[in-house]
Amino acid sequence: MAARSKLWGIMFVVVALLWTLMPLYWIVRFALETQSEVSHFPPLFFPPNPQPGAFLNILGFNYTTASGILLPASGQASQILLGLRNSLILAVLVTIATMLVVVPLAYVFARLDFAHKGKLLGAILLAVSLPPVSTLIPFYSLYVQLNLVGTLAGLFIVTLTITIPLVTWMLMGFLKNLPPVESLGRIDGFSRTYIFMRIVVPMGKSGIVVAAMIAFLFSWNEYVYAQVLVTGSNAVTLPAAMTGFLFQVPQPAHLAASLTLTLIPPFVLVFFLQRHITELNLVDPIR
Amino acid sequence: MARINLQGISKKFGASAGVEWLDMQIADGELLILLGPSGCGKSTTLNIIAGLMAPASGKVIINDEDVTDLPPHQRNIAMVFQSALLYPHLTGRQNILMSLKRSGLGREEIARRVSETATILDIGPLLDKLPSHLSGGERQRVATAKAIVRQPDVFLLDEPLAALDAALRLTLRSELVNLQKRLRTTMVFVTHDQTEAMTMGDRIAVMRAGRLEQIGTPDDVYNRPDTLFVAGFVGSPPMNFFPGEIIGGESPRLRCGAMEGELKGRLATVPGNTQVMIAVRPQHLRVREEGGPGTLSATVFALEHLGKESVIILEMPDRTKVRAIVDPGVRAPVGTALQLDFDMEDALFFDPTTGHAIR
Ligand SMILES: Nc1ncnc2c1ncn2[C@@H]1O[C@H](COP(=O)(O)OP(=O)(O)OP(=O)(O)O)[C@@H](O)[C@H]1O
Ligand SMILES: [Mg+2]
Repeated sequence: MAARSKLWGIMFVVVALLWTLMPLYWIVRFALETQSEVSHFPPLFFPPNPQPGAFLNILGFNYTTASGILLPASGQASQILLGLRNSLILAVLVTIATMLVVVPLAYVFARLDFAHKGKLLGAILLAVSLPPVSTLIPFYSLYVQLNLVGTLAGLFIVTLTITIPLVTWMLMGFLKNLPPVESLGRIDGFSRTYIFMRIVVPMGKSGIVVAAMIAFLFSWNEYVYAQVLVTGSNAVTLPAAMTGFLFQVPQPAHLAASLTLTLIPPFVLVFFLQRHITELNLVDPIR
Repeated sequence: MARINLQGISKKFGASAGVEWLDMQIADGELLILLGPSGCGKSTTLNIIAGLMAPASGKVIINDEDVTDLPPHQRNIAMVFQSALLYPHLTGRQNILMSLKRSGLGREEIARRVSETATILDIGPLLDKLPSHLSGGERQRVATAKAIVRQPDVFLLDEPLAALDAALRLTLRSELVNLQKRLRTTMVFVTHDQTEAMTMGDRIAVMRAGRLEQIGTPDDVYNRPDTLFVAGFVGSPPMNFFPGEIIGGESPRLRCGAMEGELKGRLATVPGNTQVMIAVRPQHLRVREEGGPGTLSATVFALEHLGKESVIILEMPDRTKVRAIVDPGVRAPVGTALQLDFDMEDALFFDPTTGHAIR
């Protein structure tokens, strides 16, 4: 009985892994192949001569394979490089700004009582439920008048309107479950600011780190606003820059290589912060 | 060393009254228990004494000084919270040190106090562990250490033992009383467990729905309850209640169903034909198989064996339940008809409408 359910468990994990990893593998495989290998039929499951040509091409370098084929630099390279730079800057700034706003905000909503709390909270959370598309056109016409179309500052502001409510909502739940250390801190003679900065924040470190990660990933992956507001400008971000491949001679290897490129920062981030993800239940063992 | 004086404390939460018009004096070095059912305002009272909550009206006076508007830290109190709350991200030692961080004491004095406290509570090996790595009893000791290291005037404890298992509670409660008597610090201890209250307290304050019902020694509260509520709440198994009537005349008598007895001078001031509520402790009920005239009949509802004695639960004709303590050897199948009676000297009397004791 137990062995049988264990077998099912393993099978489930295997299916889930395949489900997640197969598309990723397929993209990486494309990125390591030449044009003719990509178009081979039936498809090759393993790249016959894996080479990093496509990665170098999209970053603006020519590459000659071992068999002497020249893979020329992509015409989109400048856009990709620009997008990479902008996306990193934007994601870091959005993360910092989001956390500066959200940590105190979520704390106040999670742990303190004040007048009209319910209504204010409702207003914040309403923003979570709005689909981004619904605010796209208002933002666009506003930005045309404010000259913010095609600027990183414009995209920064729009992204904050999404990350702040979303991350507040997530972090609130986490902070609510922390034990009532405020009373303890007040008995010990600490000010509210001290309790927040020196007790709650260190105590809630894991939740805050994970929340920051969500903000980073959200900004890094944001596509809808970027597509409308910054495509083709100097403020282009990586997801928007990648769509450039769709309007050119099909280069599946280049598209796959740039997709792989976008996956690297989130992977690195999650890899180094996984300790915090698993530590998320830092709450009173008795409660 | 502190006397605490609460004068007319009120604190409302929306419609529900947290506490209402509370007056209480706590003597220097006394261990006062706040006892009452869930939601009766025990924690609210304690938080107001601590200064974590401001009363809507009334005054908190510690040692003749009005501290109502002082923040908790300046009242020189220490508090242990429910389930021995500690800062979860700090070790035992760091938790204890947090109590002294704002004390203005010198580094050496702090170190001396921490090691002294660790010795008193025997927690040396626990100092470098995180609270999540301590057992319930160990956490309790560390939380107590965190409280006493400040050498406060007043200890406030809010159900510190509630989350622990029965055996551990028994050990820890005698340790706490021992500590309090050695340090001679005024202590206010909140619990809803009446056994804990009876065994620990110098005095017990019984609260109900935000009001103080009675304050007195365990003996007062147990043997001379002021109200029906106190009579029913204190004591285990709880007191039994029988409706009765006073028959006036030359020598007033009391009637309870088929039972009638001389009052022998008690209740002399009560006029005849007054309804009363008669309260009798389970150990004062006599249960027998054959009743004569003047006994009450009941049927067996359940029998609980406690080892050195048994509790028999009987159902009266009006379907109320009555508990009596009987010898451990007694066998009584459910449904058996039995007779019971009691001596009038053992009974307490209450006004059934106001609930006040009639003496
Ligand atoms: N912050 C609050 N907001 C609203 N109502 C409250 C608050 N604190 C307490 N109350 C209400 O006041 C009453 C007394 O609460 P209190 O916490 O003092 O009870 P308690 O005697 O400590 O009960 P327990 O044994 O369950 O801890 C309860 O009815 C409770 O619902
Ligand atoms: Mg309470």
